[in-house]
Amino acid sequence: MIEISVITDEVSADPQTALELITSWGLNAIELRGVECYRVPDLNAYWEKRLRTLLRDFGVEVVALSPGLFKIPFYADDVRADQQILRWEDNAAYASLHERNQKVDYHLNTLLPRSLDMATELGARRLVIFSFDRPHGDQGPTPQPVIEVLRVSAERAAEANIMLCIEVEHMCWGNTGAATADIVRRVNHPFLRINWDPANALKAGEEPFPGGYSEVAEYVSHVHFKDAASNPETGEVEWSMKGDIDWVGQIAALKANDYRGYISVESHCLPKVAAAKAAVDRLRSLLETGRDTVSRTQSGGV
Amino acid sequence: MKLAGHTMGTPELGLVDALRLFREIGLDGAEIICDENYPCGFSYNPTRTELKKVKCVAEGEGLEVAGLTPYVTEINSLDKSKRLAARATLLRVIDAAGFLGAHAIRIYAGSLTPAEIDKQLVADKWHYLIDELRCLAENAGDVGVYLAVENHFNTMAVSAADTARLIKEVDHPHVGILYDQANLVFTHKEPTEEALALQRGLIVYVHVKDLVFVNRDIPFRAVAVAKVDSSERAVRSRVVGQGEIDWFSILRGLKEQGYDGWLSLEYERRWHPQDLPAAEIGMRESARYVRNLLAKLEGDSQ
Repeated sequence: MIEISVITDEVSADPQTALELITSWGLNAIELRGVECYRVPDLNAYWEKRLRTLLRDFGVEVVALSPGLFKIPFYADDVRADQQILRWEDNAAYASLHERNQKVDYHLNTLLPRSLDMATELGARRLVIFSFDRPHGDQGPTPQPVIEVLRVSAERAAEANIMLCIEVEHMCWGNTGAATADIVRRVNHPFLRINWDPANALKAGEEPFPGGYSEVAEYVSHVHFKDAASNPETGEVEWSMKGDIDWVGQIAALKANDYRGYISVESHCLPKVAAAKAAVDRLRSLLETGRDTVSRTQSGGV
Repeated sequence: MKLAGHTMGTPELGLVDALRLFREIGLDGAEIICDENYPCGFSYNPTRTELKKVKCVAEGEGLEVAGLTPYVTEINSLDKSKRLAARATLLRVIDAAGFLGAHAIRIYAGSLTPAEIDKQLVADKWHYLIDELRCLAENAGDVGVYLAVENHFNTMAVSAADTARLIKEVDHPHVGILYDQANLVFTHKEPTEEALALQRGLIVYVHVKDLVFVNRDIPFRAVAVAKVDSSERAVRSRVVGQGEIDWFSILRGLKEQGYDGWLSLEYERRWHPQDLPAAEIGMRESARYVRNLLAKLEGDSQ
């Protein structure tokens, strides 16, 4: 059975407000990402405590955490071959690359274990992660070192019995269904699966359904629900309440493939509360009746 | 109750041919071995294409996938890396079971040889076993599959009493008992009535096989977990109905406690081909015999 969850910060940055609204919509499953101006698991002392109280008081189930793991550039050589004429420029470049590499270390050795700990503590079975930034214009396959880091991460996740779900994200190596499925196949670890986000795939230029989905179908362990449409004036793909994604077909295919997980509402539109509620209603209708109830409106809002 | 054929009975056939045979002899489903290098099953890491073929053939033959049978024993290993490797392997099997719509996965309660008598060692292995079963159960629950812990020699569930104690301690709705009275008989554990009483309400799957003792006085011994070497055997396998196991009493007892699930013909031709005719003859006869008993039971209750 497919169930609906909501990413709380898509409703409100304040978890109390978000939980009040989400539960009033008859839902009790959430995905945690932003908490006030922090991103899980890096909360301040107040939210460390307060969040747990709120989760208990509202009786909600945390189905996934999205700490933003690996949504950063991958390691680079910090001693560059192409030396500048000016030494201070070399130094600045070195410092920048060194900092970038330290960030990867931090994600792998600190943020990942802390995220796994928090997921375990909150009973979340899935961790939404990313696959490192794809350098602009690079159309090639995911480099092997990225695969190795993701494999190590999956091994650590296995220890915690938590599934890592790579989000298909237009700016990452796993930018399309095809590219993300390729990563999962190459990592070849059962604790690494996919968070299928058709709108993100569309933004990367892939036809998400049926094309992209056919690539990822066997690896889908979590889904994000939002829509996107191409702006006829700019040609840019923009978030929309009713865009170009064939969600009727997509939901039917998920059901046909016996997908039994959660679909997290992530409207990315304004005004936040109205957009989140409209997305919940739309998803409910898609799941219950197979029909789409939302008519096309201006992109970016309800 | 539904009747399945176990691919242990068809080592000479490929999986597709075995499924066709099961249908031809009137079975309702199949229990499929997951093992490397066994021709009548699939590996621990099957491709989705392989699984699609199995699913397609099974559906085409009108068969359900009753169960999958891996041979993983290291879920209670004292070596953490071995436990994690076992977890990863079994997660792949859970994935496959979910895709195939299987009812259950046969699980060994780890391993415990008669030589392992140190109290602390046994306590540690028990603790790891419980933890690991709970971890796996969460994943099995996600795809609606039961983990069926078999009454089996050289594991921590040799007797019905130990198996029931284990399942009660794990205490998860997706973990139950694979009741195998023949295994209890040749390891000199509980007789039918006692085994059924001890395991009441916990049985989620049943193996059906038969045997005769060649020497009742030899204490049971086996070096490996999966099979008893021919030099160690005090019994010989038989077609169901031609041995010493009182299947009428077993089926009556199961029916009395409301069991209405799978009976899987664990026809051990893979291990003991010298004892058993080809499945086409022996499994067919076993199925006919069990069907007659079920009909008799049905008649008795009317």
